Amino acid sequence: MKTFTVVGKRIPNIDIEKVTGDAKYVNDLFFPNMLCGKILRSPYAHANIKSIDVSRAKKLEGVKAVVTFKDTLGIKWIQVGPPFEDKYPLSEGKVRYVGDEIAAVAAIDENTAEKALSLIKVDYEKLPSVFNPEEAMLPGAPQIHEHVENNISVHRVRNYGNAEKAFQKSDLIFEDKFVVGPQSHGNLEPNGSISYFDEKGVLHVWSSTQSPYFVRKELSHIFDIPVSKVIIKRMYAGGGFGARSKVCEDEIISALLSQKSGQPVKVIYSREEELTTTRIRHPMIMYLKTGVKKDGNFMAREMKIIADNGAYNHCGPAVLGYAVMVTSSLYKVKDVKVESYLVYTNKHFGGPYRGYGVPQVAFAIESQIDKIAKELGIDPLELRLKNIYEKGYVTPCGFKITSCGLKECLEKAAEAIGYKDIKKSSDPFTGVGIASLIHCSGARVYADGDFSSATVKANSDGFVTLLVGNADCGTWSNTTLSQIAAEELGVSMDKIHLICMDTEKTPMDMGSWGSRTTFIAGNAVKIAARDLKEQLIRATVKELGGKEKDFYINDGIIQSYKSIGKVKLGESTVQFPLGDAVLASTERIGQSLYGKGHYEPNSEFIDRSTGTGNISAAYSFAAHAAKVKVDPDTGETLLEDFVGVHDVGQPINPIAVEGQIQGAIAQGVGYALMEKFTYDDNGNVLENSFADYKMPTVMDLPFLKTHIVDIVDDEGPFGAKGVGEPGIIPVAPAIINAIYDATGSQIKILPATPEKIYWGIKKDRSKL
Amino acid sequence: MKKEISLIINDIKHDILVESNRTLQELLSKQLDLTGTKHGCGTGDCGACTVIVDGNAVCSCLVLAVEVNGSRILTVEGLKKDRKLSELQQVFLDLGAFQCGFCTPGMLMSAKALLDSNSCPSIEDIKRAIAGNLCRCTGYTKIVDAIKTVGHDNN
Amino acid sequence: MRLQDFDYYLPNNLEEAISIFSNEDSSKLLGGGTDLLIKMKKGIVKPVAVIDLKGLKNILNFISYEKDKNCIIIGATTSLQDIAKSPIITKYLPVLAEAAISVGSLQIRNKGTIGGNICNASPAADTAPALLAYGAEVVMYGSNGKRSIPLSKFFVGPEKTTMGEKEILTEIIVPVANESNGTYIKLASRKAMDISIASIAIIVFSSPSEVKEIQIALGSVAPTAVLVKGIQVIYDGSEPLNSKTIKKIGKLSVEQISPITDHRASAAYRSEMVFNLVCRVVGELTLAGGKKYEERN
Repeated sequence: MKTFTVVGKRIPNIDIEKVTGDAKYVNDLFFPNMLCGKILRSPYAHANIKSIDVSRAKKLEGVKAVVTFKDTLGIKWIQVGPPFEDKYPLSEGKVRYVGDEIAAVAAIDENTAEKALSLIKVDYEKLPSVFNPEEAMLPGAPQIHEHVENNISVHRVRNYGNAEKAFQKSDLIFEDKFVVGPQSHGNLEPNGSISYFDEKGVLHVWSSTQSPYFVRKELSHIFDIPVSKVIIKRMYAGGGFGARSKVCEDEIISALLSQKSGQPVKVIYSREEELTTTRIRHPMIMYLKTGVKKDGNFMAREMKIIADNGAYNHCGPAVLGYAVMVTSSLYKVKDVKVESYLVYTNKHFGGPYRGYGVPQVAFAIESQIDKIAKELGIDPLELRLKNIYEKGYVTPCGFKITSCGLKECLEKAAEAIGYKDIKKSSDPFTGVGIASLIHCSGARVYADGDFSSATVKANSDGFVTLLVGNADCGTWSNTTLSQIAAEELGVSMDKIHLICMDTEKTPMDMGSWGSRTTFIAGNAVKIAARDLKEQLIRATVKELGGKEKDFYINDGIIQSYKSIGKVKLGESTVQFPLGDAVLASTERIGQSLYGKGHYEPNSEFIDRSTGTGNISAAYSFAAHAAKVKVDPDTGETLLEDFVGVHDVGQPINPIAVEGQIQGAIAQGVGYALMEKFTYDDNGNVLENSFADYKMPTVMDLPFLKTHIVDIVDDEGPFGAKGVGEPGIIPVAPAIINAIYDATGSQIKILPATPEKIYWGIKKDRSKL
Repeated sequence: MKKEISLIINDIKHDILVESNRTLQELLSKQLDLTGTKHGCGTGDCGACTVIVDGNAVCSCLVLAVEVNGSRILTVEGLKKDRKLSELQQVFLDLGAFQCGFCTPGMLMSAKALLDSNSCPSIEDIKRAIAGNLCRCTGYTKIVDAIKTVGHDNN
Repeated sequence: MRLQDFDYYLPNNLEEAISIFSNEDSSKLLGGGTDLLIKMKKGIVKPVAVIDLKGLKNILNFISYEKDKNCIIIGATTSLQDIAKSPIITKYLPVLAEAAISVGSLQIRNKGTIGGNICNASPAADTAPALLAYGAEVVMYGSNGKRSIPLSKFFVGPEKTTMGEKEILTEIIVPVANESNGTYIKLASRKAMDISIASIAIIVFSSPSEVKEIQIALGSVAPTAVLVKGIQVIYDGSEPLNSKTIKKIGKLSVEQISPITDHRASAAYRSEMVFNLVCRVVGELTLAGGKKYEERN
């Protein structure tokens, strides 16, 4: 492996203010004359709005603005683009889930704003509602959007190869139904933003967004103002995971309220709003059919996915599209058919969430593999190793695998958990499970492209300013992008000063989602740093003589590999401080020199007719292993041990990589065992607080072990690939497979609560 | 209803006129600019607002400001010593025990309360002490590691 | 989600507290506030006056062992964490200590009080089953003076007690059983910060050689915490306990509950958990060598 000076090192996070309490999040900002914005939400899952009377609310002392649909331009959100737009900033006369936004108020304080909401009178005509996607698809079901028959927003059939034929050639066919529920991002910071339309009509938004440029684009569209008149300033973000990778309602509504009141307006969600009205991981019902040879070779896979969209599309069509592609790409199976439905229901709606549809399909596929293994009498690990692919493989949907450490991951995960010993052990109700993943490093899923830009500025005192449009929502990208700049430029970390994400100041970047930052923004930073380095060396050669190719930069000093003229190598005259090169350059602006970088990988936008395309320039892999002990009297699962082994290419910062993996595992544990939303008959979410929506506490998790395998990707910056999302994907199936191993009972509906496991064991025992 | 109260916050005495319905969390972040104490849920279910009142870690969202009249309060802003990071903060930084940073102030305060009463806690002690501090980013492993490291150093 | 305005009182003697409490129509007592403030924020209760009991620390915040009466008296505003960590409680009432430490988080236990845990009368209150199994009594003060009743006569329904509207719970008196053994089991989705799906406090009172009496109390499986009645009829302590009798005790327990199905668990599961856990725990506490439940099947 190549040796680096900064990359690959365990460098502490550069955002020191996160441990001092000085880091400012949106709610920590206060402006003079700032108002508090609150949203009136639908109490009904499905209703027509006959009238809205805001007159009493407007008259309340301290109320500065009340807005309804009439105060908007009547333009829908773009989201994934045509033909999927289906949501207005405020209800246009119909509400489609409990929590749908109807009106909003801005007042001098929170209590006044809440009082004003209670004074708005809405006359509803209740409509029948539907909460189950399979019921919503039936003829006669309540129609949620006028233009969408049978509530089917998307229906696609993808044929990769010829599954029908391949099933005929199979020795055995397995068919199962798997169901996964919703999951909240569970960000500790509630969604929120501050908007201010200034005197010049410029809209300033302070937001914890993951993607300032998407927010800018949406706001410019919704308010019909030029993008240059929208400035997104990013604050520290208390979590992301996809929750804020697109514009959020609070950003639009705070802007509407500011437009109306002429004052800055802060909208911060309550925890209840956060849990019941923000995006969730799409629930899915999956019918999976797999054909295998007796020796364990996977022959054919057929999946029918019914994804529960909730009330609106948001990113549903793209999430489902990606899930379908990965369905064809998990393990080597050449002939795959996937039929997918995205179905509206009267519930809070899905959106992007770490893994983007893949944790769902991976749960189905990886769970069924263990059932196949049991039936064939092959060890589940052996069966997986038999069906993996390597570098050079092209998956049925067109993913070109340019680097692949899947084999190493599986073997290391098994070794680290003590797979063989647990399998051999006679401990009753103890089990081990394993599962793997493939995930993109950036994805060309939006028509906008998939690019990042960066600017690196060298100052005459030898310090370097890095400007990136990327948003660090806790991923450590501020630190890792600085490391990439430092490594490429040949300066130490303390010389780098990072300025991130202010759409007015920083270069364009599509945002922090799709596991794209390290790979795509990282490459942009590397290119910018290289551009700057070349300029610095050019200026040095002009000053000292010699050849450009003989110069390099080390610790901020420009040096030559060779002697220049009579001056010998190592003498101070062939060592030129970076700052002096800035001064010597004719290109300098003031006393700084700029390097620019733009990176857009050679990936392909999905072919909408076939569902194929190499949407990413690199793919990450991993295998996770879980060890559980199940209490058969109660169904409780004790997660005794968990290992995540990842191929992330060259890790830029191992601390950051481990952190991403560990955090993703914890979210996966919640998804597997405890996190759920249930709805009463009227569509109210019952888990509306952190007391009821149960995310794992420290008591629920073992020490989470991680390993990084030794793989380098040629296209990645210094060989790196993405790691933000992957870690959540194999967690649920690894745990469920371990429970299956421990109890002989396979849970096919997530989450695997103690009650489900208990009944499962009891049912299977009664069959004996 | 307003009431005059007196608090010692991070070793500084404050005489404050405060409304009876103001929580300690609101007092700190909205009235005294100590925004390090975060509001995550308002119902004591996440621990982001944890501060130390007279030696005990509590959720400041479930404490009335008037209720703690006369108390000594430590918030995350009071952890630094002589303008330098405390050992606990330094170890959190060195070992990467945070990601988004939103739970970090509360987590630090729970850890601080623990270490003040038990300078060399066991893993079980640490887990119990921070069980009320939700973190969605880290999976807690590096946080437990960091607190354990400070404990060992104390030994 | 913000608190509405209210008048705040900090009485420093019981008479003053009772007087304010009686005179203010819509008033609430503030112990630790971990339940009250949430209810106020959600608008479930809207008191005009909040009476903080912190001024009554000297008479409401204590744990004492009364040697002559062989009982422990706990002041109503003693924090759950103080109870969990009290050497007196861990020595004489270990099941109560276990129950107290299972509540919420350290932050909540530091603030939440045992009086609040009892007076809220949640079917899931963790300390209730432990106190019921120990045979605790509660002492209340009102404008008519002091009275005390067994805790088993205190709970009426969810958030309903036999306490007068303007009475203040002051003390909890728990008899000490010198030869006892027991445990509190909380079945929940999470291992901390959770509300029980079912909870079980079991105390086995014994002479040095044999089991004399078994007390079982259950939480989250009925509108109130339930003290299982009639165990003595099945088992009078005259002969060693066998697995058949244990199953009878399990069945008896299930007969006395009325669990509901909600988003946390089904009624059927709760019933089976009561049976399984009662059988398992009684077995572990009484049978030699703490045999596993499966082996007894």
